[in-house]
Amino acid sequence: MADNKNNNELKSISEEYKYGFKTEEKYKFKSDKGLTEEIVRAISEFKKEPEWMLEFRLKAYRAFKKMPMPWWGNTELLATVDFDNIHYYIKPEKDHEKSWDDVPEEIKETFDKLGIPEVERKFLAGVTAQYESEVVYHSIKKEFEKLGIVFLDMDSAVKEYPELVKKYFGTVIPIHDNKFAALNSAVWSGGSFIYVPKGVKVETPLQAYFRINAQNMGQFERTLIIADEGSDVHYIEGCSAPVYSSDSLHAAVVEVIALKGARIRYSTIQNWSNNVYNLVTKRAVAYENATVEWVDGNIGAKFTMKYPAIFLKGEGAHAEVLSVALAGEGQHQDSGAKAFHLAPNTTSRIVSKSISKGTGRASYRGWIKVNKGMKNCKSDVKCDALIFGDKARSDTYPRMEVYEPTTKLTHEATVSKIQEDQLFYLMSRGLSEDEASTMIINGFFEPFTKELPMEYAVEFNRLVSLEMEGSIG
Amino acid sequence: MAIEIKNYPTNKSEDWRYFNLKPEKVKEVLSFNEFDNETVFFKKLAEKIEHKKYSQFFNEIDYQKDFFKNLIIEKGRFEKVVFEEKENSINEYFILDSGKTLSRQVDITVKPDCKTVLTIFFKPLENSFLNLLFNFLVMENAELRLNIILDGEENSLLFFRTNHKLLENAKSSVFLLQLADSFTRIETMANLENGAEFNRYQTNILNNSSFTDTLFKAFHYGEKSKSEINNLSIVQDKAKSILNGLLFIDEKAKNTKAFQSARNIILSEESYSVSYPQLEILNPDVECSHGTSMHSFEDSQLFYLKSRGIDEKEAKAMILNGYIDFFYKNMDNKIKKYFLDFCHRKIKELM
Repeated sequence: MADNKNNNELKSISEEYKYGFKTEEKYKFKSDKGLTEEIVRAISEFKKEPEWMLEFRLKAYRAFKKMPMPWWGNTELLATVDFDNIHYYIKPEKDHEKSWDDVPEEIKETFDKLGIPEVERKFLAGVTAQYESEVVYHSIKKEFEKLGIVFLDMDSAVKEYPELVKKYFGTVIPIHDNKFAALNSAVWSGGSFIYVPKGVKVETPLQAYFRINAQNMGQFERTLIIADEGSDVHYIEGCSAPVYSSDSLHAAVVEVIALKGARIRYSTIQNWSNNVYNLVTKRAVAYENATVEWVDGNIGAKFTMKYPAIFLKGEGAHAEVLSVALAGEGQHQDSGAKAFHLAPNTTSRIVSKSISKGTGRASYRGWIKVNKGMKNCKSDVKCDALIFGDKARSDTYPRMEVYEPTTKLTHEATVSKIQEDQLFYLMSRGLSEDEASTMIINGFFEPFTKELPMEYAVEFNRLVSLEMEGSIG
Repeated sequence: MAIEIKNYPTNKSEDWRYFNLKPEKVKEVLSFNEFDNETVFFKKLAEKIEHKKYSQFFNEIDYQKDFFKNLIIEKGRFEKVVFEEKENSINEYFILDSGKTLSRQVDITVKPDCKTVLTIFFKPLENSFLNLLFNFLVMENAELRLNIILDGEENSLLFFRTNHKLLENAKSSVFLLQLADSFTRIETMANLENGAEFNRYQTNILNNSSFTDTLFKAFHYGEKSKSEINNLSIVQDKAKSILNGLLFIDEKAKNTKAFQSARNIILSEESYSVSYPQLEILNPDVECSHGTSMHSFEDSQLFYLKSRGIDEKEAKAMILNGYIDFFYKNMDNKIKKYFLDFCHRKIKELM
């Protein structure tokens, strides 16, 4: 069957993607293992940062030392995080690149292996690629400059737009938010900074690729997106990482600010290798009539803790979270979403889909809160989970707190395996059990994939079908 | 006081997040006099045959060693009861006097193929502290129906814990009505073996400064076990209703069906409701779901009734009564009527 042939081709591409790649490691600067005040100072000095940023880092470092690990979630896995066995800062040898032609061959190869189509590469001039903890090349499309859009790596933004960064940096996720946010605030490096001016609608999604490429290296990128009044922007990040023998920690912080009437969509496909601890804090603030959408796919990593949150601070603001997770052999995907209604007439919608297979565990952890006096808020939460295999596990931990009587909140969750009658229906039409199941799973994830740009959707479907191979029946 | 406060409720543990008694309150309730009069209800239970051979089952389910359990161990009393007849029925009304405290543990066994119906009304009066632990062992093919009404007065503290061990094909149904103005913690644990069935229906109708914190956990260890847990909370004035539930499906519990629902109706700006319905599922052969809703009145429903000449208060009462009538649809008719009388009276008070 032609479809089968295509499937096999897709699988072979995905296999390479899945098992990763690795290029020669060359560093300008590599901090010792473990974290001390001296290392924090050295990072800041090396980056020639302003005094306020050093102060911010030191304050965060002290908070990190004092703060306890989360007492909830998978505490067994959390207990295995060894903060003293991590290099907190690595500076790659190559400096920032300005155009596609200047991009080193090995990085081009990297994109090759990610399976980016030929046409897409033309647009890569607008891509921020994260290599180690540092942005190795970065170029801004001329159209963006014309529109006044700032799309930089975070380090450059601190130097080039100090006032803008200082105004918003750490305002959505304060230092003391949680231990990993404190850690990130102390040692952050790289990440994206985006500012979209008033009324500007960005047609092309802004994209960034992240890669961890050194053994025992924690990656602590810091992203800040500000959409000024009435603007519209879509940011996409995709992650991939080669497989290494010892554990890698990824503790990013993402702050998103949608001012009056703005719309921000933040899409992620996370496919870290299965030894990475992905402990990310993502939070957005939506002001009057603003919309923030998190589209979040978690496939890789050994352990993920990620709960994109939205603080609805202005009247009429809307939050949307679409989160999918696939927990394969030995993985724990602890993901979910939070929406805090802090203004009247705000709405939120959360859809979560998860699959656990083998010894995988998928957990949904959500939190909806409607504060007192916030009239006419609406929230709708839906969680669906599929389980394959006797050792797989699926959890749902939704918390709902309503302090306002005019609220309308609904929540529903279901957990089951693929229904026999659905399989029977498809198989009676000539499909094999594998094909039928893949079709059902693709349908299950469809609300997510249809929100992604085409190439990401294709990539996502490839990954899912590869992950699910042989796990049915 | 000699009692040592071990594992005192703190916000470190998720289960205790909302139930956080102030130390002054604890001191106050510990200073109450012991309730030493033998009540008809407990006497009736004590007259039943004591049986030690089931202790292993009780050890299995009675694992919480916290402040309230310690209070029973150090100051309270234990009763052990076995129901052996095919049909057993106890209806009781228990009042705890003002300024008194009572801590009691009752281990109840329902023998195979027997059916027991317990209908109990607890009313702790103002400034009293009632601390109860019921452990139920429901043996093979036996059935337990537990109908409980809690109606504590203001400023009373009520701690009501039930643990259920359901052996093969056993069935337990709990119908609970919480009307108390008190500070109340309700805990229900169920441990289900093959083919066991556990149903739980709890309604909270709360006003004034009433605080009700409910925790339930159903652990499915057996194949083809079933659980259905439904909660309905109506909160008015400054009342608060907290619900923290967990359905746990073990890897051995194939072909399990589990369902939980929570409807929260919030009637005033000062009242609030929190729901935390959780699922932990360790095998794929399950049908599990839960649903929660939080809301006030639907404008369209009120409009419908008002356009038929019914005034607003009455219309609201009708809607709430409708929810409750439907909620208790699986109850025995006689007891249902008794429950509904209380509900309707309380709803009237709320309007």
